[in-house]
Amino acid sequence: MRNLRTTDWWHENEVKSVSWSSSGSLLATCSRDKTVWIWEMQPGNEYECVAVLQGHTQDVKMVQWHPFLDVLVSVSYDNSIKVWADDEDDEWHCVQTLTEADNCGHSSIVWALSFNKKGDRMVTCSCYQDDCTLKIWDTSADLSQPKTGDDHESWRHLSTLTGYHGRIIFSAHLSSEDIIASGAGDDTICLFTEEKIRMVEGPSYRLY
Amino acid sequence: MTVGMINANPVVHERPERAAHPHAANALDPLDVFDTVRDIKDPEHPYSLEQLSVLSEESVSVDEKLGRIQITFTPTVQHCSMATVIGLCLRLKLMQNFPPHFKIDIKVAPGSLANEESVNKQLNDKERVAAALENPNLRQLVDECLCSNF
Repeated sequence: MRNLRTTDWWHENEVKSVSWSSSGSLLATCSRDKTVWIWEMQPGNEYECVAVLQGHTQDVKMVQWHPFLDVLVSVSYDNSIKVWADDEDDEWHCVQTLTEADNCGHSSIVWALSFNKKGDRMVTCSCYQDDCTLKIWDTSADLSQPKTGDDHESWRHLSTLTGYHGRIIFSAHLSSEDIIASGAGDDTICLFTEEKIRMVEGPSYRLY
Repeated sequence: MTVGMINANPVVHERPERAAHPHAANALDPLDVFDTVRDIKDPEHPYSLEQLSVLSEESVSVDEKLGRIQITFTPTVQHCSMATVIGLCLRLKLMQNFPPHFKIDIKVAPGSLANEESVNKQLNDKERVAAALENPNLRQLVDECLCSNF
């Protein structure tokens, strides 16, 4: 058993969430200390902290890796969703921040996120006053590649599901069949599926 | 902790007469909830939250069908740094006295506090609340407010 606290550096507050990358060589952790850490497996089962990502202004609630790219997403008490990737020099940066103002993002604490198997959809959840929402994002743009010139591919908001939960949605997950499951403080679980029929206006979702 | 008091001269009201109130044996009456919290001591002054008009009977609403208790409290001044402490006291007292299936919302009365949104956000994030109650200094202050007798 390995205790990552025995290395020289560790989080300063509760570690809220951990996530393995698809390759199994990268581990991401996040904390109430507002940071996200990336650990890389070294030869001999050693782990080295390769990045301490600062950018969130409040507790980071969850981290999740993209299903096959080395792209990491974190969600926070600061209402934002941050996307992180490394560059040619192996430096990790925030490559996109999804906010209420710029991207139809959440207006309160974002509690969880989940990718679908194909990596082109992500769901996040939040609750502002009595309005508890799930947001679905188009994550087909490959943010692991450096942006060239003005070709500014980025992730975008697709749909907001509201009115299904009466209290904070703590957890949301996309199945391999692209069904969204959400669990909330109102003691209920909801399941949603994407409606592909009306693709002209963009996909919409309905209760499953 | 600040050295000077946030509000050195609060307005103190007489402790009102407490009438017996008949109600159905199993129903959760807002007055039952109010009775539980009215005597919580203010963190700064030797008076109850009711005496300082931080809470009143109208502060509490109960939706028994949804299993929901809502409390709205009014800090004595717009820039009250004790608002989160008062909120924590309310949350702990209610957690200790009502079954866990009751969902509790604690909010500052709209317009009564400069940083209302930030305080409401903290008081309704259960992880933040749990972390605050694990802070020994804060917990001691909250326990003192809850243990007072009026």
